[in-house]
Amino acid sequence: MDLTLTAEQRLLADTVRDLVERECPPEVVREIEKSERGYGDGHWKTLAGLGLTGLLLPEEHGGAGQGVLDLAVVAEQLGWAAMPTPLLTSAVFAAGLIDLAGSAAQRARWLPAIGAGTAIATVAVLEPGARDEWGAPDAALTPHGAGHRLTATKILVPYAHVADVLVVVVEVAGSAPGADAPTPEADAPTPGADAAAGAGPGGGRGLVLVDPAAPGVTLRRQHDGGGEPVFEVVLRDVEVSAADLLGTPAAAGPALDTALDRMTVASTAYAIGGAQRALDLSVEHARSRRQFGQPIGAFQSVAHRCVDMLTDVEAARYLCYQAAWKLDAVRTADAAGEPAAGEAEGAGEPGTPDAADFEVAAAKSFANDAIRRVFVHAHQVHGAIGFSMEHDLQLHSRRGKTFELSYGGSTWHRERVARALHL
Amino acid sequence: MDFAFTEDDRAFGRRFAELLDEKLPADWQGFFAEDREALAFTREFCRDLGRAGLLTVSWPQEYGGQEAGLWKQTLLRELMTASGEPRGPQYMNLNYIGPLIMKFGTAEQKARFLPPMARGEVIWTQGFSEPDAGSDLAALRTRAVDHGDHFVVTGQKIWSSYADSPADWNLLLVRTNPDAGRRRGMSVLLVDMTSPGITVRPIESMGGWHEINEVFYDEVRVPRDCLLGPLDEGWGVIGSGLTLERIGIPRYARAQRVVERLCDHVRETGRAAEPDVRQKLADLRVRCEAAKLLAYRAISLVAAGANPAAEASTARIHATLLEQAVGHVGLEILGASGRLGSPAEQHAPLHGLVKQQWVHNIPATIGAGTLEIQKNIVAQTALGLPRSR
Repeated sequence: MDLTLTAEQRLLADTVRDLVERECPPEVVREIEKSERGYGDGHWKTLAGLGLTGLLLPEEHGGAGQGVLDLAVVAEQLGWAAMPTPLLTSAVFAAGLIDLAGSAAQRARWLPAIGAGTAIATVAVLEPGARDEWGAPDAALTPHGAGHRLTATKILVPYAHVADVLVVVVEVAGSAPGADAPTPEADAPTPGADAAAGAGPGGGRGLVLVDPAAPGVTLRRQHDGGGEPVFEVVLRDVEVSAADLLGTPAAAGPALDTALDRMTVASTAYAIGGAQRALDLSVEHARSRRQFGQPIGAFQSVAHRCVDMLTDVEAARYLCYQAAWKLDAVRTADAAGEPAAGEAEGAGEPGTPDAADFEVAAAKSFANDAIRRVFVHAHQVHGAIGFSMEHDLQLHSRRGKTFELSYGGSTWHRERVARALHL
Repeated sequence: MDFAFTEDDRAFGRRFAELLDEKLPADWQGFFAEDREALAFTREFCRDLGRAGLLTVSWPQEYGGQEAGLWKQTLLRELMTASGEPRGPQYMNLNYIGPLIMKFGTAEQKARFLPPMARGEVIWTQGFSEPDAGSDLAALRTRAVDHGDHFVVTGQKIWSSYADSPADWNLLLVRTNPDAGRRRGMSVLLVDMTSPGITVRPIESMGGWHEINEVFYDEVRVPRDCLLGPLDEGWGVIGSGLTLERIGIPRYARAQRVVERLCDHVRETGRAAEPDVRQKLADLRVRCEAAKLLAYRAISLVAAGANPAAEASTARIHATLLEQAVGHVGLEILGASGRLGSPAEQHAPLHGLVKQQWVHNIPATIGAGTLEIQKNIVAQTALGLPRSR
């Protein structure tokens, strides 16, 4: 047990922090947000040059073979700067799906390029009306000649306009939505388990690779205020060959669940970085802003809000690190064919040896609520100026709300926790 | 970064878990239950552990310990706290009074006071707060007049835990120099509770038996060799002790035990499918995890040689609020039948465990520095905010 960063992790964090302080100050973030591209090409090349696009990818495909924990340390610093970047979407989520579910040929085609930053991949998972990324998709494949055709409407797809490949989550024929969702007792389906519809092994979901330039694909920019360029992606009778299917239906569901967990943790780390920045800004404001003849931080009502923010950020951070660590432990154990290390002793310890469900869901549910509280406090401490677009706080509070609404809300993840507790 | 215990640490934890299974009476409700006999059991339990050399496993060998590492110590404390602290008042000896004597004591003081603690034969109380010096501890007035080879103590302390157990010794903070300014001029005395002039008045608490007391000192004579640390510099001695005390009790471990019992209870009573029950228990369990990790972070910093005062306060803030939430939310889950909180009441759910969790944690955000004082410490030390009142 040691909850301090290793020397390598500290070096990684410091390197990225130096980079974002130098190259990604708030005025640069503002410019990028207004641009067509929606991310900094120079930033992207720098991140790739540091090897961060390949951090998580296997060494056999030119990656660094590092863990989610290392990635989380990086993401936290990017979030601190509110840097818009396809790093997480491409190198964690999409590349994770290709790595976990892809054939040898698909992995060889995409992973080295994504890892080098010369290709960008994204994931089209959400559909209109969706509540979270685990829901059963309507996107339908219909047999056509030797292959299939795909018709679907996807929303909030990040960086689709610059993507070289889209990983599209589709319904797999013959499986009812949510049919495979685990319930605590087979004979006693719980009302709470409704929230879990679509999750779990299989889950009636498949994955296909789509070329965004293919006939039948149209993009429309959407605006969610979260600082990343997002798109509606409409697929109309898009041809999908056998070579474009990513994994068998049996493999795709579990791969999606694992990749979603990694992305959930990486985005949590990014959001915690943003919450830390909101705390930093609040403390700075409380020290310099004077009213009634003294800095407002000398008033306990203000100081204690700052402490509450710190307590929340710290707790969320270590839950997030733990989830990242557990995902890495599960991956290492799976590779070795052994149970994951670090299973705590004694009755009542949640989770199964091979799953990071408890840790991931604990981190995300807590972070959702904690980050919401942090931004409520941050805005209150800042007063009117924090509501103005001139101030930097809005860069982070917009992202904070987007985070809360992405990769599962608190209620959804608490239900996951309840299942991990065998409730 | 590593979130797993070593196999060696885990084996140590298993050994203590088995020991507790073997030694704790079947109807053991915890030290804080409304049962005066629990106190007698804790004395016997400590003597047993002391005889086996297991009471002070974390202490250095020269003071009767086995130099078990910080993480073994953590696992041990978690087990004890989760089990309702079968060591009774003596956890204070191990957590901070003993370590304070190791840090500030003379060779004679160490030889005199530490071995009885290691044998589990001595109960200590402490005297910090006074009727007019609570959060503002530096306003204390209990006076010790220096007479060369002894001090004469006169004054009044309040909220002295376990003084009526009865306690054998007392870690007492007194004013030795009234002209030296608020935080200067205080000293720490080790006071024999059988000294003439000491009167203990138990204060009945909402929690049942008399764990808190008022203690009156009327010209109590304390030999000079019972001065702990430098004369007039007791504030620093106590400050270092309070940091130890703030992370010394793994409060999250008891909270988690209660949450686990609640999980069992709702499964057994067919209520595990209720969505709000699932949400509430999951939330509490996640907060236990958060509080545990904050404590582990502070301990990791101690292991790395740092003095994590702000981190200890942050961990304590989270843990005490969690303990209270487990009581409140747990009772809400139990509903009307949760009103029955006495272990003797046959219809009390979980033998009153959750109601006791509520009542015993009303002062969780008050003792060892109120929640507001903890927040002030964090605001000033970790965030660099101006001093505020």
